[in-house]
Amino acid sequence: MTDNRKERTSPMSCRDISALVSESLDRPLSLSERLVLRTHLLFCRACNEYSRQIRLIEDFFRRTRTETDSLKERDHEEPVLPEESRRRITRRIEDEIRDHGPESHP
Amino acid sequence: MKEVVESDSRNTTDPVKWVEEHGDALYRFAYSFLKDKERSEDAVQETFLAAIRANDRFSERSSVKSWLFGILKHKIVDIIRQDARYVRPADWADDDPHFEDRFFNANGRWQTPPRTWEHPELTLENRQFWREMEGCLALLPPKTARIFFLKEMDGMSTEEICQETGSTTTTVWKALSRARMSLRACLERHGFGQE
Repeated sequence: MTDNRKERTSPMSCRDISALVSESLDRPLSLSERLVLRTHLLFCRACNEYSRQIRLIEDFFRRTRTETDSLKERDHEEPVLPEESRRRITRRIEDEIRDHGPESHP
Repeated sequence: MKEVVESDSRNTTDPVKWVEEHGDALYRFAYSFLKDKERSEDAVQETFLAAIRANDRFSERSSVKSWLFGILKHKIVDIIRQDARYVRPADWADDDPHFEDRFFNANGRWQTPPRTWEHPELTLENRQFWREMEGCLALLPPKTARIFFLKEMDGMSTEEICQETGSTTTTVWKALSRARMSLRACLERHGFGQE
């Protein structure tokens, strides 16, 4: 296996930079990596946009995690499981238990 | 405070009671992603059924509720991934050695430089954005998608993803990089961020 990190201190192409920008979201970059990245982003509009966009996406998912997590605790808000869905699911659960549920095990 | 798991009615392991206890919360959670009654109901039902089938593996260390939500997230991801609006190039697999060649020239420069996104509103409430995002997420090859969802839906660290999937850190970082690369390109290709 090749270590694709070893040459990253020499001048890098946009292709290499895009990987480094992404990894900066997943691990702390070394000092030299940060330097190379910052220098490249100073002069490269395309990589700047790339960096901005994947951060927007990352930020979207982070916000979504927080917002949807809080939904778990708000019990009486809309939308609620519609009554007919509730009945249908309950019937399906009862079928499942009858056919394959814990009681069918010895 | 002492944890009293057994006597907590909200922690019942009786599946029939789950609908009453957790149905609304699960449904609301599913609906926030799926925006659709049928798909959300499916996700909730599939969650209960999967939980029943795995009931003996339920560990009392966690609450029934968080266990059910853990299953639900996977069901939501499954449903999102069934979205077949866009077609993945047939030769794009998880281990594609030429993935980056689709985006960069031989000299390593962008083939199509990313454009400035005007007024980017990336929220679940922005239906247009989220619809595109769903279609684009469905394009990711399976392992790449799995790693991306563990990171972004479950909020796992690289180390946790490595444990969960048996991958090396390099593999995880590469998969995340490719997922981001293709998601942003897919969004832009379908008009996101352009006036």
